[in-house]
Amino acid sequence: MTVWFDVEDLFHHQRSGAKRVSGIQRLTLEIYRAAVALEGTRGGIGFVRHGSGPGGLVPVAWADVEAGFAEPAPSVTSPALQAPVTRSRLSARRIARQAANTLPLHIKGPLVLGSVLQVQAVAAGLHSVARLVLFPVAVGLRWGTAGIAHAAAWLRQPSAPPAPPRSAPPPFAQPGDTLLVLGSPWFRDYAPVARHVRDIWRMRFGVLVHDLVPVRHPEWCHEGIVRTVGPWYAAVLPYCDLVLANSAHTAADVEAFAHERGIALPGPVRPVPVGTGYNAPPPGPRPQAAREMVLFVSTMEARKNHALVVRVWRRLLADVTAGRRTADTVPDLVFAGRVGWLVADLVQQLDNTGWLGGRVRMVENPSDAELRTLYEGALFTVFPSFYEGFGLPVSESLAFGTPCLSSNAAALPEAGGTLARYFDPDDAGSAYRAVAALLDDRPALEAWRAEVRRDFRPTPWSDTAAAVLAACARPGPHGTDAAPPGSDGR
Amino acid sequence: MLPGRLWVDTEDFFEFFAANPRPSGIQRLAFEIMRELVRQAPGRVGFVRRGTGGSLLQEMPWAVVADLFTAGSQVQQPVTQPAPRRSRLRRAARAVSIRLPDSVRTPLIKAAVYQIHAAKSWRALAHMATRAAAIAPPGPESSGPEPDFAPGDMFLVLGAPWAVPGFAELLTALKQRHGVVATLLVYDLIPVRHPEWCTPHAADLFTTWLYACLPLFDRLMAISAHTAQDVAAFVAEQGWALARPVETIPIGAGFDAPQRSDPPGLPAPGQYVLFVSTIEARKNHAVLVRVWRRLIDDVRLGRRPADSVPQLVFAGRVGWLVADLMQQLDNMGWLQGRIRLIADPTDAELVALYRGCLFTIFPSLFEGWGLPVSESLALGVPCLASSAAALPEAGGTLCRYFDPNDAGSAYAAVVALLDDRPALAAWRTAVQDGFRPVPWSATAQAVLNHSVLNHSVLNHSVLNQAVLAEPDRAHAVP
Repeated sequence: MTVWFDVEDLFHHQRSGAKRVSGIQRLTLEIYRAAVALEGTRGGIGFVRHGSGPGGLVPVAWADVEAGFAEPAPSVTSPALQAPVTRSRLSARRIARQAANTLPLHIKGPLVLGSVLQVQAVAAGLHSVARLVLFPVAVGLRWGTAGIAHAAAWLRQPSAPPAPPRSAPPPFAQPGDTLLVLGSPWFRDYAPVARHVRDIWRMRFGVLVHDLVPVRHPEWCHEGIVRTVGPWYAAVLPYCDLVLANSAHTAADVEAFAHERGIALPGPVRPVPVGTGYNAPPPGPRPQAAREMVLFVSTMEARKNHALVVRVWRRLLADVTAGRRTADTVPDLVFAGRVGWLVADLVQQLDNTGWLGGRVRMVENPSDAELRTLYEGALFTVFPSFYEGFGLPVSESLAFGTPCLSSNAAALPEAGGTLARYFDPDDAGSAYRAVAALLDDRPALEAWRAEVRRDFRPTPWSDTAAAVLAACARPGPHGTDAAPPGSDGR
Repeated sequence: MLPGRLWVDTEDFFEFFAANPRPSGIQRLAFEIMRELVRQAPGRVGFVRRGTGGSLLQEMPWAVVADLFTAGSQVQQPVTQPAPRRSRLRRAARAVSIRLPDSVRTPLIKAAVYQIHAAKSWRALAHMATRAAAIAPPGPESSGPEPDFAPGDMFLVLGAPWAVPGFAELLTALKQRHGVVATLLVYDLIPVRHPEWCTPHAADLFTTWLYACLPLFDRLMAISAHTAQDVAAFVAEQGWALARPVETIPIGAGFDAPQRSDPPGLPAPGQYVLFVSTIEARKNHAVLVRVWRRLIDDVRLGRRPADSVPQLVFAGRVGWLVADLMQQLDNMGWLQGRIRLIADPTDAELVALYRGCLFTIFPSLFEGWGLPVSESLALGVPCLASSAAALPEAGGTLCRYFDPNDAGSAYAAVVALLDDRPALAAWRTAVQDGFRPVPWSATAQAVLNHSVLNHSVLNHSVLNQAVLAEPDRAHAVP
């Protein structure tokens, strides 16, 4: 019985121009690597990409998958701490912006909007003209080459091969094998694939759900994702023999979602243990940071609630201005990640305040080596997210031996366990008090750090892979007989 | 007749109404004060705006100024024209378009859509240009008379003149040439203290203006004790010194409610909670979206009946730094339509909205005063307000408060009201019986009193003249 993983989303993500794999893609890569390490030699797992033909899946070698996503070797020295990459702007844009800023607002608005739209209108117009000219050429070329290819094929073999019967077994897999979707192939209408795999090829089919944020909280997502993800799961879940989740919280959410939509699940949704971090060696000695800082590792997007920590730091610095606190007790706040969606207003607010007089810094797209330096140098990390399916930055922080002050929302207490500490992400006051308490009692902070370093037990990614494979080995109609995570379910 | 006349600067109002259809808080408040000043001291109050052809200022008749405001607060939203029937031309265009290949049609349609939207912007610009021309100062031939300033006259700034160019030069010239006493009413120092809530342009303008002009004023008044403290602290931080304390003046409550009318198209009375405010980051609409989201989650999870969650109505214009919030609301389908945005309400619509709501809510993160809070109470409507900055001064003891930084506390406060309707009704009665609105005449009286106090102090700035020797300070924004 082989478990086949659909890895097309990795390639899709790469084609879409992402500089680094992140989030779901990165997590699935870790699971694949661990699964290969566990099963590689025995041929118990395989990988598929999307192709044409019935079922629409074609096998791909692990080497080809891995080659595309190897991490660049970490640089020896990391400038992350000493010279943070601050947000820089194209100077031409800045000049245009400054020029626009001299205009009164009521003129600037329509002027800028009008100009932008006008440029877009002209660009689209030119585009359509180009297409109109090129269209006959393209059609001619396509028909021409297709005709030549067809003729060549006809010459090579006198008759077309018989089309494979629809019930033929997959060319690469056996009935009873499992197709698992761990990632996010939301770009594909997947229900026909799942139906074909299950009913024609007689395989089993399963998915791992990371969260249902686009369904539950569309306010925090791109419109495109909102329109895609809910319908995708609603269409695909009915075909599942196996549904996995990255936390008990997500599992409960998926069950509630299925119930609401009248979808009969094959059994309880099974949470699998999620590995710890991506690149965390055992904690070593702390590097001497040039400036004290508190770290927040995350894409900057509305759901992550950067606004709250900005407010907290605003208040800490106001305390300094008012003489209630000395400036050296307020560390810098470092955001590590990329600027995502629905935060343009927040970035503008930060720009307005000069990033709180330079006390808030942004390290864009940090490398693994930079991240490690940041984690190790941080006084502690904060993670105020409104909603997480799991919360990797929390467990990652603990793996680096760095205390984490986390939101208590959704699955975060599962990720942080008893070693992280929590606050209400809706209450800036409680976050402020929690941060101030840590800053004002350094011995207690150090004691917490020692506790984290002593007691945190990272979950190896092999546990995750083993749990996934075990679940596939015994999907069962009701799923309750699945082997416990980590046991030998092969 | 009391000695010394009051010349109220109105230049910024002319400019404001050239760009905005409806008055905002400052314009509204300034208008109420001006109207009362005219009533209480008719011979002593004059209105001025920038002069033309060498004169600093020209006198404007009160009727002209009043017109500006009354026209502004009654502008009806243009009624949207019914879509014209599809013309033959359009049908022909469509017939051609559907025969084009996709690869050509898509960019073509895109081009058309962009062009239509771009044309809208150009039309808006053209409209503004014509409007600005209509409101521009009259030419030299029609320029009003230069006021006959006498030493000891007061130049009173009640508005928001930070965008008016050359304001510091005007003040200096007025003081040197005519010996007038310059008085400023300060609303708040938000653009200096909290630039995160302003457009960068507005923050720059205000900050530059404040550093250049504040030291030139002889007297400062503030709309709340909170603002007065803020101003005193700011002045102290700059190393300036106040010759006399910042005077807090009482602020009137409510506005001249139009006759009871029934404007069409508003939410059904009794089924919504109202938030009257421009939609901008500082006003903290986001926290209410969180609260209502939680109420709807309660419904979904069966913890609360659907009919116990009223609509949430935002009444105001969409302002700055809320594009992401608007997108979030779009994404969530405005919570299945439970959150409504009544854009640019007229006075009549506002009054109808106030009268029809269960209660009002005002979660702002910072206010120099809080007109919507006192307005709500004046109309007999309970208000649940943020406890930030000057809001407790505006709301007094009849208003109830929550921490605007804590969505949990806001949620608890809203739920308590929704789930105990008798208590809500009792609160409403208490507001209707107990609220004693400050009349705007008291505000005007305070301004007048302040203007005759220590009248002998002339040509003597409240602030040390020494600071004027440091023009660089104007740019040394913290």
